[in-house]
Amino acid sequence: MQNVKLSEGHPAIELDKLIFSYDNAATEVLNIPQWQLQQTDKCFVFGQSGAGKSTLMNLLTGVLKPTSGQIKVFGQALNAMSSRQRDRFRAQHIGVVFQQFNLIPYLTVAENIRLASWFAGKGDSHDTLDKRLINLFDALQLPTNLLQRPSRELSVGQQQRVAIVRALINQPELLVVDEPTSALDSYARDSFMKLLMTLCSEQQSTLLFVSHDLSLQSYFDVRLNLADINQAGGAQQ
Amino acid sequence: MIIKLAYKSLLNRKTSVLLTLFSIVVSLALLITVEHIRSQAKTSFNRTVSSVDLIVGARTGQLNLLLYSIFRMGNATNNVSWQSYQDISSQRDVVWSVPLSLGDSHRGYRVLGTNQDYFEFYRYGDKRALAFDAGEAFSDPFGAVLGAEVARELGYEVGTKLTLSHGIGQVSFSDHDNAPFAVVGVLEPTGTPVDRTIHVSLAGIEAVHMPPSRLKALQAAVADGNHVEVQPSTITAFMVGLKSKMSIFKIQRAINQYKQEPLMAVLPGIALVELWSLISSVENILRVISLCVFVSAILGLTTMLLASMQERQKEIAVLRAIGAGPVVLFVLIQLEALLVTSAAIGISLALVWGLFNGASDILASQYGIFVSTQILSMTQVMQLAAALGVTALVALIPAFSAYKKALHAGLGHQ
Repeated sequence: MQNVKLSEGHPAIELDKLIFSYDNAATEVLNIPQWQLQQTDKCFVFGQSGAGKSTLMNLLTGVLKPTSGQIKVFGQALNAMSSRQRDRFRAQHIGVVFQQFNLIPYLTVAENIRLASWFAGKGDSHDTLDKRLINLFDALQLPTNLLQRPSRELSVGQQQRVAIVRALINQPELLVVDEPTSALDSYARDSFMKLLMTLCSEQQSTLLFVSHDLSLQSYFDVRLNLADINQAGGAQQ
Repeated sequence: MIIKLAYKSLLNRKTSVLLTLFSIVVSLALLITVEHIRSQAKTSFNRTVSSVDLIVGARTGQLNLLLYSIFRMGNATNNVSWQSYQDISSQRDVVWSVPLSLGDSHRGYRVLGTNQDYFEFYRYGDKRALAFDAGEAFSDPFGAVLGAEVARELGYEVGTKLTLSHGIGQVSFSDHDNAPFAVVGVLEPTGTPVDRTIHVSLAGIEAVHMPPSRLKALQAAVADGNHVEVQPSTITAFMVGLKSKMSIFKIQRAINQYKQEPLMAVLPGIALVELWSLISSVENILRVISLCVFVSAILGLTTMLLASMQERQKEIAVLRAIGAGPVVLFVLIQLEALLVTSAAIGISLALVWGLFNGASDILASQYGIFVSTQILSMTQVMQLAAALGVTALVALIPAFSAYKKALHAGLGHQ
């Protein structure tokens, strides 16, 4: 499967009668009749812990498969793909940034980033990658001498910014970010958010930002309280 | 890329990986050593004697006779009278016979009293005859022919004088130092106990045990160039070559029932097989033990990998996020296991190679086993491939654990 051209004109995310429960247990974690997110939107998803935020994230990135219903990302139905296809789709089209542990600690920063491009297998040349890497480092105000350092030696703030470089290196159409600022102090948090927003605009990426920190919602044009669309009862506990 | 990841991940857990590696190295070195010694001992034993139809000595066990006459290990229980030797070797079916007289030594090397026929009829390996590296066979009572190792180790050459000691220890309290021998020949290496033997004439052996006055007279006669005939009264054993293989059992029976003296004749091939079966049971035990050690070392490797899975949960989540499927994680763990075993194979081969390079002399002189330092035989390669196979098999456990973790654990669970 080569670099799939994602069809224009589709919403970034479409959920249709999506139901998910773990291991066929009777209690549904998610039940979303209908939801859409348009391309290049920046969406802030919030909800209490246990509201199903991380489950939604796992479904959108194709790590989990819905029990029933449809998930389309840029028109591609994830629920119809094999798990191998979903892994490939995630590698090529979705960038993921976690709360904290984003990098493999024993690899250098450069190796972490190259690994992501290797898994995507888009066949980008070294030069293209290097150019993109330098641009991203520049945009995120990271010194390039970090590249050869083992990532465990970086500060948390640096690690989070490298995680964004890693997530964007394959020029994904969708960026899924899970509480990336919870380990940062307020100053670092502000500069991190600004950089993230600028980059997403530049790259024309769609952003799905999962958090329970409502103070961040001012950065976003779309806000979604998961409880508003999730009809699964058990998840409200 | 995945190999690099596996390698770096192992480096990251240096201490536990090194300990595991060490235990596998030890077990593999043991396995390789046992296999090498086994194959080498077998060839070494089997090449020691060929073309000899019967070995005759005083009545004893056939192994004992074989060991002291051919391998120069241990001592004869009794001797064979010269009369019986003459009698048997003059029978119609006997083509040649070579007397062997043992019991003396020189600086720890056995001295064998024999005659010139020894150099003509003795065969080793693939029916190869003895060849002289320097000099020639002895023609007078005080000439000595050295095996290749004796000459090399003691630095002797043709013309060197030496004296014999009674008994076979490294240090002897009863030296026959009034009867010096001179080296007249050095044999080419054979890889058999011949290399560690000093060959002299029967007359020479007889002479050193004479009272001093008779010895002086004999030495004077030899010095004058006279031909002297010294008749030994007994020898230790003798080797016999027969006209046809068909008569072997007939002659053997005749010797075993010899009236004048209790004698026995053994077929070297059969005695070698008996010797081998004796050794191979020990060797099988060693094999089983080293196999058990290996299996426990590999289980240690698996335990190490399995224990690491707990702390690698986050790592797995990261790899999943950038698009690694469960299969990739399965392969990663397998690679880590195989990398460790491969490294262990390399290290243990080097170790065993070094060991045999250092110990081959001791093995040869103490145990009569001539080992080559060529460790990699076909069996050895198969054995090592099997070791990798076992690793892959046992590593299925942690690899499946990683696979399942990757499949079920989502990205967000941190």
